[in-house]
Amino acid sequence: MRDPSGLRDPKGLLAGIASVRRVRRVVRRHPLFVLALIATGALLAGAIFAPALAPYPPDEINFAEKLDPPSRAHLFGTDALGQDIFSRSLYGARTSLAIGGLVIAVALALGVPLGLAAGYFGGRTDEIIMRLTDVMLGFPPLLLPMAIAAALGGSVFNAMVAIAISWFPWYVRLLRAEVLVLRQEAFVEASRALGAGSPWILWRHLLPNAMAPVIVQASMDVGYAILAAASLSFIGLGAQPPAVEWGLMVTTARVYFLDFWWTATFPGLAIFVAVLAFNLLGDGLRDLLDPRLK
Amino acid sequence: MPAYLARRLALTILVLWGLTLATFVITHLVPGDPAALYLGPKPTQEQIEAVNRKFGFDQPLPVQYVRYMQGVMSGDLGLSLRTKRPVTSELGARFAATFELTTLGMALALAVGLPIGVASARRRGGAVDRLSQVVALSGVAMPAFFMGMLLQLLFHGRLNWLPLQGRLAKEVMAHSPVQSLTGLYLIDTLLTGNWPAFQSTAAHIVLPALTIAFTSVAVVTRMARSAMLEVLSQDYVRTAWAYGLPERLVYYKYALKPALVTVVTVVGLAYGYLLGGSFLVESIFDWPGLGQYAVLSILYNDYPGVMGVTVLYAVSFILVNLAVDLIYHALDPRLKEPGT
Repeated sequence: MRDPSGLRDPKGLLAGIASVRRVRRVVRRHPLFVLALIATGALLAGAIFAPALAPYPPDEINFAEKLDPPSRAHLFGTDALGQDIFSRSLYGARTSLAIGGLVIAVALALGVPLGLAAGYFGGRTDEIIMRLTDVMLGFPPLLLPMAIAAALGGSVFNAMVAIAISWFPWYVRLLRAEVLVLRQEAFVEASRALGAGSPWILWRHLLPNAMAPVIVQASMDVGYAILAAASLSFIGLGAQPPAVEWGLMVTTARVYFLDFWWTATFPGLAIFVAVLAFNLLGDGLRDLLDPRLK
Repeated sequence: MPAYLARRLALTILVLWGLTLATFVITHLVPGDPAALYLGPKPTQEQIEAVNRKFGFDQPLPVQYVRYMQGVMSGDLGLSLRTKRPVTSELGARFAATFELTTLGMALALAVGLPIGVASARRRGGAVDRLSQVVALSGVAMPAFFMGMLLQLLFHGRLNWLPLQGRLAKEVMAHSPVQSLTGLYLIDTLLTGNWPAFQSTAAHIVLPALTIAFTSVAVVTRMARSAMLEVLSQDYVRTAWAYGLPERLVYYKYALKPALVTVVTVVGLAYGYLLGGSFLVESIFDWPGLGQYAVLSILYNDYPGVMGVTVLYAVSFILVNLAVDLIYHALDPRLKEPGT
């Protein structure tokens, strides 16, 4: 039952006031975080509602209007095929956000269990898992995804697989470091003394308590995964035409961007904004979730 | 200590070996005929068989791997399938180009990043601090290739001050070729008094070096700032203040020196990464270094080339780590005591 006076349920009203205050406090203290929330929200909305928001179909070729500078008809101008760059940037958000989200999801699915196991069981398990990550992280940055993507063949999906495979060792390390600290804690020992088995301890105690830094890292990494995918496209090992992806748009524009600046600038800025937004989001989450970090 | 060092060395070798094995496996996942790649279009059956025999492509993969590793031990990284030249000598020439570019870029990043980082720590939350955070964030979020293109757009396309790409103008290369002494064009041309070539190569290196500096300055600034803040909170710094020592002395002598230890580590590691070749920057500026070589090798499925880059990178990374350790000891006398 609704109770606007708050007399019958003072607790509920207080909680409501508290949450409003809380939101205000967050806005005041972490303006960049709020900005990042708005930016990532806008990107997400742009990606989801691209068909409704885009003034033109992303692949509509119109040679009569090729390489037109930004105007009212074409906010970001048009490319060499006369395609509307604003519409393509919106659709590009779909590709890039999907890549970012899926890469991190796969990397988490691989890295979290392995990191938990390495930290909790120690010994030989730990040794084997950690040497594996040493090897994978020993590659020059981007060389491993490049080599895997080349072996699989260039496509958005293969680029995702390649980046996820080269990414998960970071989560293994992160989780392991957290677990090494947590498993010494009194509540874990107490639980073990009460007869809890390893799966229970891992699932109920270690994983939830190790989640904060993982969430922080993962939200930052969505941006870096987008960046890595764009870089692969740039080298020619990622998205291939007719896929609509920001990195590929910049790459295609390489031939003529000196004379037609908008062709590379807007998709490039889109990558920049997305990476920046997720980076700030992670930063803000770190401040909110775990003041110890930083 | 020797036991610890021995373990560390053994682990390093294990990781190195793992890197070569992983690269070998990945590059051989691609279904392809290395002999056909080596011979170019339309080879005859006899030619293919001859090449297969010569390079051992007809052998089982484990045998090929062992042979390759035997070569690596004696410094022979095999023959590039793309250029048909020994990978070792190709990498040598390209390493110099990458070294020159990376060192200049890193030096620029240090020259800009260190003072900004220190200034941010002095006035925490001040205008410089906020500005440096913005710069640091944009340096991290900006795609290197896009940054390079923006610089090209401005300094070549609009202003026409600097060349678009390459290491040396073609006309200059024909008129006054660079005599290779060190492989570093800036130094070689100076030593031989080859002014036209010096001017050309200096003009060519500016934009790629700026791009590398831009992506690295974020790391330098952040590290310098946090290391300074850490040191400034120490008791001995408070004591220095209490003694009434001049501000300059406290900041630049007593605080900066220990803070540099941390900065050197991180910058050293970043530098080590860059020496493996900045794939994107070298590609966009057509810079004939390791990064471009790696990209070309991967695109052509030239596995001796890919493996060569990986091996060289891993070795140089280890050497940089060693150098970082040594600089550490020079900067922090506490580490010199025996047994620590």
